[in-house]
Amino acid sequence: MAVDLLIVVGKALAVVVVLMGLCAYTVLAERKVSSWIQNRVGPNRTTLPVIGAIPVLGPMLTRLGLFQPMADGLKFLFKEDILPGHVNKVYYMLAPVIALVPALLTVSVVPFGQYVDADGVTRPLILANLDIGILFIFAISSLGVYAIILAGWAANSKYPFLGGVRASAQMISYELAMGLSVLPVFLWINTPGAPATLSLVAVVDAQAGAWFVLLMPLSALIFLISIFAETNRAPFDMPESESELVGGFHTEYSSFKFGLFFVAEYAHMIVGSAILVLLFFGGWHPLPWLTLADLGLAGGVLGGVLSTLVFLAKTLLVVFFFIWVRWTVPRFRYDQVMRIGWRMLLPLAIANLIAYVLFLAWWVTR
Amino acid sequence: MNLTASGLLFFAFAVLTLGAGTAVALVREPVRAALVGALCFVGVGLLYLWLGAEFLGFIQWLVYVGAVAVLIVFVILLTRREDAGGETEGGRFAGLRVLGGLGVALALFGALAAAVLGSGSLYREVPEEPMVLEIAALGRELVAGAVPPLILVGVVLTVALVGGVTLALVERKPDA
Repeated sequence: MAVDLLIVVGKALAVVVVLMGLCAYTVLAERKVSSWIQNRVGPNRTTLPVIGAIPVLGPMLTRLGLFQPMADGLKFLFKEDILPGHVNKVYYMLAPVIALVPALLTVSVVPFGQYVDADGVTRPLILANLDIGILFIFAISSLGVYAIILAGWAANSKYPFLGGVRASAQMISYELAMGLSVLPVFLWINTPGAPATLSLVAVVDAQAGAWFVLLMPLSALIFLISIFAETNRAPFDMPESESELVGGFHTEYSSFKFGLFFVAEYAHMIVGSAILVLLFFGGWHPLPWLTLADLGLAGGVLGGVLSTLVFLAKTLLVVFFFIWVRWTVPRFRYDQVMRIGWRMLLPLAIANLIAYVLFLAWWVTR
Repeated sequence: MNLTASGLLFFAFAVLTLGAGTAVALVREPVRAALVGALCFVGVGLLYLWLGAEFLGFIQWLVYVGAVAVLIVFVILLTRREDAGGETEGGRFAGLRVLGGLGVALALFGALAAAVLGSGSLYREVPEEPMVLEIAALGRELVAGAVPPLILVGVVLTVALVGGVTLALVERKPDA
């Protein structure tokens, strides 16, 4: 009992540590990619005493900025934590915590690989294999909006307030389209009458042949756009648009509290990318119509490591896409955001859902 | 009665739900009231989860905490008045208001208690094995027994949605 509990805690810690590491290096990737896009060099000075002194390797790592995230993290930890006099203290403190919690909770139902054990049973690598995985993700991530509302309201200041209001309207608007775009996937993998599932592992299993992005490209596109809006990433970064609202909802935050918001944004982005990969881009299957089992590589530790690597590579490609878009596409105006959400994405998502319902009804009764 | 960890959890969730619910009525500032209201919904969701009804619990969070409560907070934030709050202090019919509130609360509690006691679910045997709620079974129950109200609710929601979209559409005339 106690040992089981320790193992579970250990696994959870490992996943969180990996996610935090990914967040830190996604920040670095963001800075590096943005500087390359803008013909700059990016962070290339920060170095460590011993490793930096290794003849060829040290300068190379330094130039790539690989030590920069450590400096950034320490900076967030040790800077003076300013508590403005005009804030609602309890809610002001609570907001960054609420921001990070959903991001860390949702990762617990994200499967990141699978292996075939000695008995020939396929086992997914996942913290909690819930039968209602996608519902859990939607439910928990919908709580994230409270962090932004709380931060905007508790700061008791104009720009954060505007940012908070914008964020809540935006997240409500795009949640609908996102939920509707995912439904066809689950209609597809469940047949009427048979035991049904909302598990993400089942979705990946169903993509051993064609990936869902090939079967339902419109769903994938709507989901991708909604993820951009839900994570408040450019071109949907209205809640924190620095040229209009200083910093938006986190204007009044400094030091470690700001760091929590910052990390939460990147964690949301990574988890969102992971879910996109699981739902539409075949999860840990290396290519459409080609699984690791087809290659004979699905067994044991090797299968687990390979599938995790394939999944991570795809997720990081999507993260790169997020960064690429941010530094390429200008920000929408707020009325444009609302128009895209309500007049384009929502009707499109409903039409898409009806089309797939009719098609699947015909397919099943054929 | 022996208190297990599970029983303690139940009491924790119940206290959270009831406490937050009471706070909604007692807190003066509307935004705070809406926020503790969301906390109350979270507590209800936790109770569903404690009962093993995962699907219901997460739907509760998704719909009530993630959408309904956010909408309430959002509307309050947009329409807030700086001078609101504090004006209900005293007044001419303060005693009457309290009495009226208590009366409504008691009547509601009585109706709910009568419904729970009348259903006989308090005296039912608790199954040894935790009940597993299958989503398919839930869907079958919903579609088999409750089709007319379900369709009615669906129609009402669709009308509301179409109305919302229409309102959004007519707000602007062609520019040029």
